Amino acid sequence: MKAGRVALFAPMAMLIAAFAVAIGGLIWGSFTKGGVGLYADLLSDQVVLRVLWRTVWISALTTLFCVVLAYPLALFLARSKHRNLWLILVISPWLVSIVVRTFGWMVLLGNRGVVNMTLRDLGLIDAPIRMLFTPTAVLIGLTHVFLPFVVIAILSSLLQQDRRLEEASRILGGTRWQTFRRVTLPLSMPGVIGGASLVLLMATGAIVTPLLLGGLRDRMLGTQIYTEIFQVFNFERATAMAVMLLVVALVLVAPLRLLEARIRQTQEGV
Amino acid sequence: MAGMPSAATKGRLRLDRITKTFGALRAVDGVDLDIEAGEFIAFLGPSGCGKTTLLRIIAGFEAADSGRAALDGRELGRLPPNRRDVGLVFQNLALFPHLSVAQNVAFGLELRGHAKEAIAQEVAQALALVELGALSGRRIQQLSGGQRQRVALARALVLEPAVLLLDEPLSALDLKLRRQLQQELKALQRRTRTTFIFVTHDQEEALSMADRVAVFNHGKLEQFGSPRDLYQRPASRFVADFVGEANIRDAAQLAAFGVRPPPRSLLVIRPEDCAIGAAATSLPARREGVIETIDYIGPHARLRIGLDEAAEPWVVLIHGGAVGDLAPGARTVLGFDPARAASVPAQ
Amino acid sequence: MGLSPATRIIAVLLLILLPAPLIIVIGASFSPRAVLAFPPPGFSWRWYLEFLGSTAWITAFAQSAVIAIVAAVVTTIIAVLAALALDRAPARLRSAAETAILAPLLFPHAAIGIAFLGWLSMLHLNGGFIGVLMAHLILCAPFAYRPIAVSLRQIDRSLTEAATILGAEPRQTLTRVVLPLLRPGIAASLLFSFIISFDEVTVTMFLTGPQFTTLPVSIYTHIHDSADPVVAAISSVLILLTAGLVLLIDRLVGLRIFIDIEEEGRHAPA
Repeated sequence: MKAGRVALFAPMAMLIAAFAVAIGGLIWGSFTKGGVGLYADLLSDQVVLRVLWRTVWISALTTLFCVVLAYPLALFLARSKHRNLWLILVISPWLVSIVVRTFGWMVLLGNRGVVNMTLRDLGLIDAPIRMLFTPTAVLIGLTHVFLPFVVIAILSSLLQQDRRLEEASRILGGTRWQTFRRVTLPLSMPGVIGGASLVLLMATGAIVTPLLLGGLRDRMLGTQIYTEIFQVFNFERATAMAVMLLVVALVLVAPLRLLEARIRQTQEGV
Repeated sequence: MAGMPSAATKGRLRLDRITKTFGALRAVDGVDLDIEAGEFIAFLGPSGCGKTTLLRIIAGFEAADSGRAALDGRELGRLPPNRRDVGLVFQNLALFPHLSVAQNVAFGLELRGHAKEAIAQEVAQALALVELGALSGRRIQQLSGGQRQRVALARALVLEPAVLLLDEPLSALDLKLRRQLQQELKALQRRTRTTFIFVTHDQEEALSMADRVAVFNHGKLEQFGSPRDLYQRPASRFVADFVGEANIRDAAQLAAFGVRPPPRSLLVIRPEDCAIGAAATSLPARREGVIETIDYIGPHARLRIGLDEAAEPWVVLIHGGAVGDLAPGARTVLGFDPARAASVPAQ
Repeated sequence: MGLSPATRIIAVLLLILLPAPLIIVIGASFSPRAVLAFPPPGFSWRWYLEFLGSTAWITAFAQSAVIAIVAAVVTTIIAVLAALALDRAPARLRSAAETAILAPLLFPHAAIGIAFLGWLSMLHLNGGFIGVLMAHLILCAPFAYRPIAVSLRQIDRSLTEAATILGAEPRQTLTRVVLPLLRPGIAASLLFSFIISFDEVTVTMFLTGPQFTTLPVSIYTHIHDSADPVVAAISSVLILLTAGLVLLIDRLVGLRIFIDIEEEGRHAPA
């Protein structure tokens, strides 16, 4: 029986081992090939520091936008009788390739894109507003790309809630807002934080959306890594930056994970 | 199944010092039971008393720490559940949701490699036995609670097990349907002469269905006897209290009546053996008390009568018409006949 | 409990905005001229014909499809075996194993891309089918495992016990009860991994080469150079394909599986 279980798990264990070797090799290689000096170089490079800072604030803002926008939508879905229909509208875009979705925003935001053309046709502007290749475009794109993750995460924790808790709050004299503030929101926090940490993680490591909507000027870490490899062909620098990216993601997400564990401890008593 | 003889030929179960502990908890504590072939047995007790654990030990899903079990002289030992000749109807029925009614019933027969035509015939007979012949093609989700119950029975009985274990199978049903199925189950057991072991926490269910009832408390077998024995001659204070309603009084409480229970014993006086007012005057043990409450239950009235501040009130069951113009707060005489009372050990 | 008007407005706006870029891409794909515009200045199938007539595009499409099908089937088999192995395993062991399976979700994609690139280069598997497939197996594993684990957990223990007491040996219980009841999970796992693999671009773009590329990576490269309507036509095909698969999941297992999976993910310690 025991041996049987091990045999059943062996193929999955091989995938896990392959992943561990890849990540381990990345970190190991960055020290053996580039050495600590490479990190010192990177951390004293103004361009890299600016990219680092841009990665942090764009990821943080994206996460904030995602949570603020996803919550009302998740609430709406949780209460809707036609949830399944609306879910198709959330899940289908979510599962379409990031390239395609980003391409959609290029068509919308370009100098001759839908937004500029409409504004011109309405006589509101003479010259097109530059929207593509700005941090704003990257923010819009990333928010759009990652929003469904947060919607699903929050929806899942809303649907787990016992509706009678809200009814209990109302019958005890709570207003709609008080009930939301004191019952619904706290109970859905695991979903909010879970979704937020996922977005934060993915936003820091994004390449396609920042590259296509932000261009080569407003780079993030992901795009910088991509450039180092495919344009500068500096594999060592790219590797070291990938390790930096791991650290950044870890540092950003860690507080959220701790908070999540804390909340689960108080709410579930585990 | 149809050709089964009227006298049971198999299904004699002997349990010998069965013990099972979970950590510090003695779930089953040295249980001996001797169950005859073709008996309808109920395992009765509050939740957590060990009755379900014992059932799962008989089924082979749990292994006893010590003790022996034998079915028709065959040691059950460590036999896996599929080789024990034991059937089980689960509390949640555990019908296979991906199979139809007929496929559920055929499941065990197919595993035994019966021929297709034979299976079809046996399934049809089993479904006819539980009066579900018309629904054989249905999916489980399309059935009512009572119908599912019958499918579960047919699925277990079609294999003609030596013993059929039933783990509170009626607990999810409403009262009326429950009563009806209790009668059907009993009739079914009579017809098939299979040994039934029925686990329940509902004493009324146990008393009305079973030939003999095993009462459990804290993993121990408190008493094993006919429903009549349990009620009239309880072996312990727990049984007296758990089976039916009782006024259980010690020597100090009975002193005022001039009644002395046997040494180190308590008297068990059933509410229907008590009388009040004029009817009480002819009874040997009498005292005056105050009526605290009167509840009318169908044709009967249930009164609580306080004798003095300190003692717990007596419960008395009389015919509703006999209440007359008595009302709570009125004084009356309470009487009973000590000769009709059972006694149980004080400890 | 009713929802505030603000909640409703945000929700409805998002339900329009989420699919909007995709609708615009589809619209722009019918442009008769070589500029991307929405609404299109006319109607033609010109760009679809160009797509179908291009060996490069069709090859990329076919390679993506093959990768996705192989990745979906193989990861699903691996995931079923792993889920069976972990079923009723001691809680600590199980949660450690699940954390390891879900680990790829906890790393930024840009870093994973570099890690695979370095590792596959060492094995000389870079730029080929096998390398991309290995990466996709690892990336799909969490998505394949979770629906199956959810389905497996939903199988009431009494059902397998019922099979046993009716006479089934462990193997018969597996084939006659467990696997049939796992069908929804297996279907979700197959479709889910297919979509993940077919859409993946951030990691894959590090691993493709002149001999082997996938459709999303080709689209990305193409957009990077010039955004003409042929990309819109191909993207439209991808969008409709994804939407079709979402509807298929809805039909086969219900969209609820996405929400259950999310819940499962949050219960696994991370």
